[in-house]
Amino acid sequence: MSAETEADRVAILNGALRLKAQRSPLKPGELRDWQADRRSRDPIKRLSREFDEIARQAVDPADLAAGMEAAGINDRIAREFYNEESVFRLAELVLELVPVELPDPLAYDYNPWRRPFWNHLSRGLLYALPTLPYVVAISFTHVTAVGIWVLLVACVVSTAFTQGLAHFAHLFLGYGVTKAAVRVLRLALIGVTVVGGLIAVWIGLSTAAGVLVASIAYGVLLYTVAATVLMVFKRERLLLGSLTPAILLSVVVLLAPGHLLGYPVVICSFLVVCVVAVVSVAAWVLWDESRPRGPKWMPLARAEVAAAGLHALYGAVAAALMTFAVVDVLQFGNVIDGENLIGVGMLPLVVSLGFAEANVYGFRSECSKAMARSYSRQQFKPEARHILARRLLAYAATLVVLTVIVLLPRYLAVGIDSITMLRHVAYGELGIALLGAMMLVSCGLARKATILLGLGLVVDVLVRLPASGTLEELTTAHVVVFAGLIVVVWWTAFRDLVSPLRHR
Amino acid sequence: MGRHVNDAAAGRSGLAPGAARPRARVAMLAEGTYPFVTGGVSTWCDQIIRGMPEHDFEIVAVVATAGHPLAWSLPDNVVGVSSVPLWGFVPEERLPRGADRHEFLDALRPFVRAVLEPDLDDASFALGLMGLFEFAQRHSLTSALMSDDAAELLGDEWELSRADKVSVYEVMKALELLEHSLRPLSAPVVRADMCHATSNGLPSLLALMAKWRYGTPYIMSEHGVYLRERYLAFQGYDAPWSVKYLVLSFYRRLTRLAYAEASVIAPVNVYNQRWEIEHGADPDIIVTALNGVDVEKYPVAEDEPTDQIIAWVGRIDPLKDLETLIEAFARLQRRMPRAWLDLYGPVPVGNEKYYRKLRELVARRHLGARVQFRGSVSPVSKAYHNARVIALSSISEGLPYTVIEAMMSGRATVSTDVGGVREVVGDTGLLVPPRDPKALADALERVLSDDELRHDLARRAAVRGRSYFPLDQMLGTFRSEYAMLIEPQAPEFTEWPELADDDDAMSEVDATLSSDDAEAQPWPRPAPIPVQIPAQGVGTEVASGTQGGGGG
Repeated sequence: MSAETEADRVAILNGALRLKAQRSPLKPGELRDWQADRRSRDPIKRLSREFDEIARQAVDPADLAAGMEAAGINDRIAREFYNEESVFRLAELVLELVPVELPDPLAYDYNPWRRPFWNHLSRGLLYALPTLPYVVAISFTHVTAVGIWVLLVACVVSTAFTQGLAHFAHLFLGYGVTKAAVRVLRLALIGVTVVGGLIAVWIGLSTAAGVLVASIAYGVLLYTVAATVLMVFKRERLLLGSLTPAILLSVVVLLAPGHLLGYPVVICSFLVVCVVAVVSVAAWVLWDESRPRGPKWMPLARAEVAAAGLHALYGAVAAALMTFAVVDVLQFGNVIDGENLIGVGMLPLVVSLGFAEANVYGFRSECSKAMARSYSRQQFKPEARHILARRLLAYAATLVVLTVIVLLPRYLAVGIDSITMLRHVAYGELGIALLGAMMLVSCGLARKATILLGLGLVVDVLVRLPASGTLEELTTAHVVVFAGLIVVVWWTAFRDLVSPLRHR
Repeated sequence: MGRHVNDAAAGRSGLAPGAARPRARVAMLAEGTYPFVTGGVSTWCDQIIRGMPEHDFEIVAVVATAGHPLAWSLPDNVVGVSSVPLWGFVPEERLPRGADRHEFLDALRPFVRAVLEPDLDDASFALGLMGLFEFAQRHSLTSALMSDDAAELLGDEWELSRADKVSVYEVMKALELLEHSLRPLSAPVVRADMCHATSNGLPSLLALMAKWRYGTPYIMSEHGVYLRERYLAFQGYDAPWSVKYLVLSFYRRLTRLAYAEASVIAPVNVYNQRWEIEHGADPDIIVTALNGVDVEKYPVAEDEPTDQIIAWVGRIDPLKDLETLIEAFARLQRRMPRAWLDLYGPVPVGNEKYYRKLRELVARRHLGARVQFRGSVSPVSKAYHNARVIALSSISEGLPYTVIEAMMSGRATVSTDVGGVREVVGDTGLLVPPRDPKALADALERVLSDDELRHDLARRAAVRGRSYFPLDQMLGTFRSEYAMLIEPQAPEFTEWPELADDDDAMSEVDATLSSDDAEAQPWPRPAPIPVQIPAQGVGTEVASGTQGGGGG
């Protein structure tokens, strides 16, 4: 009957049910150790050995009877060979013989969140590495204030758009409608290529941003969508492979700029080729994923579409928060530190994204195990709090270490001014707040996370309003605002994420 | 239908008492089949609806997720189609408080107790389920079930019942699965003169809801045995025992309740009756309704192909156990290198992985040149005519359409002895145990190599198929069962039937009804078509079959 398969299919897809691994068949002469105790020529006892595995875990005689019938035992065989009137009576007899042995609940693998650590690190690299070619590309241009705004908007829009897009795609994949996911991603890739290109041309030709900056912004958008396609379909290695030439070139340019800065056209063309390569690989992946048969579309509930919009908003708010230092520079109308130093300030946060993801998965994973060990809410809650606290501290320590690694050479060389220090502190705090928000989103509290980050953004914007004040005062204000954001986000996390309901 | 007035029936269908009702409205309740999926049960649904144009049908389909396109073009007498998705996003709502909270817990408690305690009477479960139904019609059952209250109640009741503790994880997992299974309780209650549930389980849950709300009677058909399929499915899942116990106990209770409340239980074979009676069904209301096939669509083949072709027709599905067939063919191929295996049928959504696994198996056995996946074919009879023998390797079947169609087409069959297959085939085909590639290979070799045997089996199969499984017979059975439910005998009528326009007949009826000795006689229950099929055997559920596209 297809009914249960249809009804269970989604359960299997989303992990509510899992298929058993196939047990390898016994080789001739091989016995499982439990057989040794009950060797007998009695037909019922021999039958009990044959159906031992099903019988030990049967919930009732009918469960065993179903297994026996599926193996070919029918009422006629029950009567002729076992002298029982039916398979049901036979199953009752066999169950009386088989010792009840419920599997140890703790032996069950409860953990759908377990991923290899390197998996998170590689994804973190994929988040961080594209900044290198971005920095190289910018270093060849003179970026005006308008240009900086264009780049900021491009970053925020691409983050927001791809958050919503990824949500749609994962939703369709979760329902098993791969082709619908492919369709949405393909539409996005084509749309961004065409519409984004037109907008980039318009910006380049009719604003003070210039063609080069508009091209860089377009490249950012294209790359982010293409990368989203590859990461949704778990093709991280392909993405890394197609990124590698651009990364290598960027490292060479950044380390030896004197030799290569004379060839901007060559370098930029190469970077363009690399973006095109990533986009092409994404297009190929979409073609590959659309080949198996299946339904082409599935309409989503309004609430599901709204949820995708919420994720897009969350992405926009998070990206907007991360641009505070750049906006500060624009606000003060000078380039005290330069784009590169702001980029350096953001570097520990960007590099730590893989660690952040690892800590989110780690939290979920440990809570799954804690749920298996707990027999009540009251028992689970303190353990969940403890896990959350450990994850918070682990990530904070990671940020501290990365910040020290970034700052130490500069400190030893030229010292560190207060603004740079404050900026690093602010980015560190933002990282911790964003980790809390990621935890909330992971546990189905995207709305709360978005509201809290949104409030933080609003307050952060408001602190800019007084026209008087120095850059140092403004940066200090950011430190205070983000400290408050940490308190609010993590208070919410410690209150809400320790309920078992959040971990189903 | 005559222009009878039946107040009870009128009330159930939403018409004012006394209103004339020209056609009966039947709610066809399905799960995972018609009209969104092709297959044997879907074919059967379509046959019934098209074969009874005198009734209007409203289809309510329990589905995994909403929004799938129709897989069938609907007949004119289908007046509505709706789906009840079990999965899909449900926005979080405020948890019940105060009186609503008590209402929910007062319903959940007996429900959970009955699920945990097999010795408790069925009334407790019915009470609890009805309470949850009433709650679900006004509030969010999803939010209520995924609450701390529900989790605590389940954990406490488990401890009381089994003197054992259950972990928070197991409670959450069980609640999650039960919540999805109980989503039909939140669906609008169907209004019809009667319901026809195509299986036990969740379609019958919809029928129960209509009975509780409007008193609507229902017929329950069973192609497979729903409960048995649930047991088999969970034997293949890796889930904590406590979760399995809770979910399967729920289905066992629901199965028993649905049998108890049905007016008629109509399995497609005798085999299913064993499970039905074992789980409380009243044998007196069981009417075997054999599957039927339109003989016009399956003419007897005039000749057979010169090549040694074996055909299989159906849905590519794990229940069909094509691995055994492919392994059997691999063995056969060593002895009969000129044999071919043609596999006809679609790959349903969700079975793509299984299909890839089969292709890999074919490649591993180096059978790529000899085993062909031919997809759907139209008309399906082509598949039968293009083969010498039809194989069936399923581990679970009801009364398989494939075998009936093959027999009608004048082809010998080699089938696994599961479900109602033996009832279909009798002595006109070879039967082998399930999951036994050697036995299947030996039987196929025997039929392919012995022309006389093959032709004899084919000839007798054609006669048997056309005698016992014509479509009209199936429709006749359901027509009379529908008539009994739609027009139950009432002590008095408000209008005489139109047909009674003969004065003498009227006088006779008058005399009967006015007599003091007259008792309200029930309409004679139409005698079920006698099932005179020799060699009844055991078997399992799931009618496999085909529709025009060659699926099954």
